[in-house]
Amino acid sequence: MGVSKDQLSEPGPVLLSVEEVSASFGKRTILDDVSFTVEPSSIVAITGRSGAGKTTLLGIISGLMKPDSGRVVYRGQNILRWGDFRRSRFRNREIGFVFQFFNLLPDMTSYQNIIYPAIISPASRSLREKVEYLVSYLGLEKILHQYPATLSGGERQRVAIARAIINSPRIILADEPTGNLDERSAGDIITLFKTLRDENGMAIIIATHDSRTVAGADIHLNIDNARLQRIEPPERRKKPRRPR
Amino acid sequence: MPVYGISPAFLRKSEKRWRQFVPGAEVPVIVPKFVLDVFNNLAAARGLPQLGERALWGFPMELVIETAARGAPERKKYDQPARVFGFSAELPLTGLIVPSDFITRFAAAHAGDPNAIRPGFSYAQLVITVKDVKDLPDISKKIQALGLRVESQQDIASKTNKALAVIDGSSLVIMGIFLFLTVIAIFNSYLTIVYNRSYTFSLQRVIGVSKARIILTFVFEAAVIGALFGLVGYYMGVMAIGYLKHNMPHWVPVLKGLALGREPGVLPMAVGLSALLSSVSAFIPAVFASNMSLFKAVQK
Repeated sequence: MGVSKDQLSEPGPVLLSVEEVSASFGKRTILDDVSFTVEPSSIVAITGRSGAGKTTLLGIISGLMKPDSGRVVYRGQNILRWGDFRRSRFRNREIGFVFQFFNLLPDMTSYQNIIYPAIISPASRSLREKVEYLVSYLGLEKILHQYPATLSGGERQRVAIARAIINSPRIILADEPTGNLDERSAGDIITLFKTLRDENGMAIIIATHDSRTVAGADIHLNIDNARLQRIEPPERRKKPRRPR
Repeated sequence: MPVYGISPAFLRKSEKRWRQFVPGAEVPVIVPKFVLDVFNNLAAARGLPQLGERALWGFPMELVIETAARGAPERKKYDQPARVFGFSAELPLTGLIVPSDFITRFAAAHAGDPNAIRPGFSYAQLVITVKDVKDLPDISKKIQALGLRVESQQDIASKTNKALAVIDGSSLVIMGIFLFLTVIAIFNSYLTIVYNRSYTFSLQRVIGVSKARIILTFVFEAAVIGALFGLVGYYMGVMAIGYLKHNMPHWVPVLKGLALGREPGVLPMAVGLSALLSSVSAFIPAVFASNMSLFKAVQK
């Protein structure tokens, strides 16, 4: 089901907008004229087959990859026009990343992994209070001084989320965050994302295959043949009347 | 050490006892300053005290002279008391200078050479001092026209310098080749480090470390490593030369680099150069590190 650009945009204050973005690897088109907007306090789920371009889209949103054409506008400014230093600062302060394989540094403890982005940012103040709050908020007290190798998948992902939100970003980009977790841990992570959305006003963009993650999202976008489509949640869809 | 017999008339400002040598008395000896310099260099290389002109003045010695009839295998030794009575900067000779009278009389008395006593006996070497160096080519031509071979102090110095320059140049080229190979080896090592740490670099980029910061950090780390190894290398080199000097007392370093040793400024230069080489070798791997395929690397 294809939709127009207007249909993909939500009314209300826009935090981030992706405008007419196209990307290709060689002759293969990954994204073709993709546009959508993201509001604060929202969860956007992006689905699509493996290799459809979900991760590429997250890379472009974060400024790590450059598209062939299009714009990524964050609070009125096209981040693709910024230099590397400004885009790096944008990633450090405004974006938090969560990955399927957690991507914690194995030779650092949970605590060291959590504070790593804060050390890079010279603007980070009252780090101790922040860490204490996050540790209590995510229930990491017992595993704070353990190394990632000794943690379960769910614990690792909670540490990764703590690392993602240590600098209080406005956006979280999550690439298959529940893809490597059991059902219960995956449920906990989805609940945590919802809490971050509701209590902290964060916008969370999730590339996923998980139907439960999609069900918990406010907006569901699907990439098919390099084109982006919006899928209406079942409760918003008009139920077809049964023929009497 | 050879002994040169020279007529007193050829030496200016010489000691009265040297000029008025009485046969049969103690032989007056003049030491060329060139010989003294060579001795002092050897003494410095072996850690022995050096000798000054004051200390040697009036120094008693015994000239041990061996003689043999032509074709005869037997040799006879004669001890001749002698004493140092002067120094000469004019004669670049490699042995001691004694009055020619002593040599001719000694040869006549002990070696059975009747020609030795004859006045005007041919000289092995004629030393000529030129006031103006510009006149040297003309004077040389005139002497050569007499059928004599001419070799000036300048020629000797120039030949020696040329030989040393060739040795130094060759060693510089060899060191340059080794330096180049070292840079390539360091470059490869850093490249391996970059690929081993690609995950870390990618993650750093994702969480907001700029390319410039990754490059600077990597190059700085390389400089610190280079400086440390430069320091270790310097002391290892000094220890190796010290060991060789101790165990090979006859060895005098000829190459400039080996003689530098503990001169002031060499240590900072060694450390600085090593840090610079390491940094230069690390720069391109650092650029690779900053351009790691970000999402692909962290998806591993």
